[in-house]
Parts: sequence; C-alpha cells; structure tokens
Amino acid sequence: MKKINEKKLKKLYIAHCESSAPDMDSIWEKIESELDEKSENRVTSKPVRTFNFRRAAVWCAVCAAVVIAVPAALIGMNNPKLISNMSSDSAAMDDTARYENAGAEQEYNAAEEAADGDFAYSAEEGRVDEFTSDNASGRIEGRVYYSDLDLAYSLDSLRPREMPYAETSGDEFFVEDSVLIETDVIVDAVVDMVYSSGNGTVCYILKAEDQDKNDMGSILVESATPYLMKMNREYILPLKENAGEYSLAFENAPQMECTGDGGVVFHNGWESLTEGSEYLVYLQNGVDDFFYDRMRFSYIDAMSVLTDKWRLLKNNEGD
Amino acid sequence: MTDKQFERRIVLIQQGNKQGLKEIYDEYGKMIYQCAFQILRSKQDAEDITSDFFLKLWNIADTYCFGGKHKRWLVTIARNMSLDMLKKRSRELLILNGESDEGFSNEPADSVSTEDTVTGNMTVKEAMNELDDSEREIVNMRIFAEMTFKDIAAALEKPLGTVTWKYHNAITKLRNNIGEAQY
Repeated sequence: MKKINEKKLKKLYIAHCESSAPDMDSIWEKIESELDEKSENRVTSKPVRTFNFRRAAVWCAVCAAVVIAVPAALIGMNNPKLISNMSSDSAAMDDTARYENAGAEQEYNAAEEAADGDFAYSAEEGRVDEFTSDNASGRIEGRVYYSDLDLAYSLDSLRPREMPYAETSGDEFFVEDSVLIETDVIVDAVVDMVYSSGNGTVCYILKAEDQDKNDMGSILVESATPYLMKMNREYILPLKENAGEYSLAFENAPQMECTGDGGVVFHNGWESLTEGSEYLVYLQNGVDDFFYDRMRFSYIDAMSVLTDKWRLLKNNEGD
Repeated sequence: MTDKQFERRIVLIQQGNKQGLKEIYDEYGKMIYQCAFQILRSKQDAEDITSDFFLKLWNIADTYCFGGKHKRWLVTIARNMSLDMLKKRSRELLILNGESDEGFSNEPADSVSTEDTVTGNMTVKEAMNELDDSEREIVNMRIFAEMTFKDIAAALEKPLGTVTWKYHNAITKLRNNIGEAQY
C-alpha cells in the first residue's frame, strides 16, 4: 500500500490543528476582560535597553577632541612651536586613553558577540545596572527582585558562550524526591574558584560543609550545566559522590543560592521550600535559561528542611 | 513574525498597549494552545493555559530578553505552565482517587470527531495518539510551530540528536499508520 509522503502529512497535520483549534475569539474575549480588570494596576515601564559602550566611547572621544583641538588651534595659529609640543603630548594622551578604553571596548565586544550569537550578554553587573536604573519605575510592589538581594560580590569569570557544548548528565525533569534519593551529601558551599576544564565542562572548587556541619575542606565539582554558579557566592548543593568524586545531583537547573541575610533563592521544583516563599523577579540569563520565571525567594532554613526530607527518603528506601 | 517584529509588540505591551498583545495572540494563540494540548491532552485545560499564558505575557513582558529567540521563549513558558498544571492535576488525581472513584479521567483527550481528516484507517488524530508524549510534542513544534530542531532541543532541554531521531521516528510511524489505509 502506498505511503503518504511527508509533505502531504505536514499539510494534513496543519489542517488538523487548524480545525481542532478552539474558538480563539472567545478566548481572547476572556483575556481582554481580565486585562481590563487589571489595567488600573498595571505598571508600565521602559523597555530593557543595554548600555552602548561604542556610542559612549565615540561621545567621549568627540568631547575630548573639542576640548583639546579647539584651544590648540586657536593658540597654535599664533605660535607654531607650541603645536609640535602639543602633538607629542596628545600622542601620549592617546596611549593612556587607549589603555583606559580597553576595558570598555572589551565589554562592548563581548556584548556585540553575544548579540550575534545564541547567548545574551550576561555579565551580572550589567544586568543589575540596567535593571535598577532603566526599570526602576517599572517595579511591581510586593515582588522581590534578585538584584536587590544581599549577595556576595561576584564578577562572572565564565559566560555561557565560553563553554564548549557538553551534554549535561542525569534527569531532564526535576522531581524533588528523585533528586534527594540520588543525593549522597548535601553541602553548604562557597564557590572558591571557577575554571573551564576544556572538555565542555566547568570545574568548581568549593569550600564546603556537609549537612552535619562537618568541614569538608575544598572539594572539586565538575559540571556541564549552563546554569553557572558564581565565584564567592554561597550555595546549598545536593551532591552525588562516587569514589571521592562529587557531582551535582541535578544539573539541568539553577542551584539553590544563599543570600547574606539568611535567605535562599531556588526554583519552584523544590516543593518543600515553596510554602510561604515569594515570587522572585529574575532576569533571564541568556536564551537557554528555562527557569528564570520559576524562581522563588524565602527565608526558610532550606538546609534543615531538605536534610530532614532527605534522611526520611533514604530511610524509607532502606526499608 | 520575526524577532524584531515581536520585540516591537513587546514594547507596545510594556507601554500598556493591548494591541501588542492582541497581535502576538493572533499570530501565536493557536501555537500556544497546541503546545499545551500536546502535554495536557485536554481541550479545556489547554484553553485555560492559553488564556493564562497571555495574561502572564502581559505581566512579564518587562523581563523579555531583547535579542533572544522569541518563539523558543514563548514555547518554553507555555510548556512550563503546562507541566506545572499537569503536576498539579496528577496531585489532585491522587487525592481524588483516595477519596472517591470519580476522579477525572486522564485519558487522551476527546473522542474522534467528524471534523478530523480521515485519510485511511486512522485519522491524523488517532495516528498522533499512537505516538509517545515527547514524539507528539516534537512533531507539533516542528510542523505546526515551525521551530528549528535546535530551538526544539533547547525548549525540551534534550540533546539535538535525540530530538531529530525522535522526530524521524514519529514521522515514520505517522506515515505508516495513515498510509496503511486507502490514501
């Protein structure tokens, strides 16, 4: 019997989807009526814009040229000797300016490269600045903003685009119980060092304490997750252990991050922690961040809650 | 809709202009519905997700990362919402089963309707029901949402090779099931 060809199959499927779609007008009416109810509470804000380093550099250069060149031209017209002296001075100034601008240019290149590639520019300081300044008026009352949290200073040493492609290991869907059952130790750790292994993974040197507050010293965790942990920041990490080597119990999600005032940032897959937690406004860290709209913040003692549950699950498993 | 066109609509939403949302809805409403339906297998739930999705979009437009790939962003949010609902629904089902036998059915969708395109001994709908969950999602994202394999892999958080392999498997199954009849 003759098989249907792929082109025809696609046409049939699209026709099927179109014909089985619900009444889209009535759904829109429902959306619109709910929007009208909420419209008075809607807080509008400016679009998120990034700082344009090149434009700023050009403006600085133009201003500097005006400041230097105009008086020089005026004086030089009357004194030719002065012109040659000033030329060498301005050459020296150019060098200094080049060094000073190097940082800005580097930042610009990173941003431009990111715009060309698949990943959005993710230097944290940039994100925080644009969020606090441009969108300051767009804040919604009662929401917690990640940029406002008491977090240790960290300059990202790696950006997603610097990571070669490597497949993450383990499950693809987060289920709290499964993750805890796979966990061998829960640590409270500060990221001491981050470096790329060169084979598609990132190595973290962590100063860690286990769930019983025993000092584990420095441990190495290698991971392929694009959800990078940051230098100096503190995390609660369920880890697997195999012959003295540690790995993240669940790689495909952001890890629980601690704030300086005892709070914890986590995604809503951690069901034991979500009660009483608050929705966290967390900017998407690149197009491959699938958790940014599911982040929560709470002052719950996450370590104790998860350790209790972990022990319970392990005991039940043993039975 | 291109990324630039989408961004212009997002700016309109940020300014509180409903027209921006309406235009995105007109373009992607059915796609969001289908994404939700492939996960939830219930028309009513998929409709609820569709309306909740656009209400959410209205609220989170400020967080859209300009320069990103909008279709992948939309599908990821719709998918997360559907998975959350699925999880909630299975919890409710557990409770209901504990209390009474009249839990809601988790059976695939609704019975075959006459509006379905009959192409042989299986309609498209019946043939789709023969696929597993992830195959259905991939077929829908590829054919109806017109997403690239790379975007599908990112949205499903699966390796690219797995996605293409599953897609081709699914297409083969569909061709066999639909083609076995008198097409």
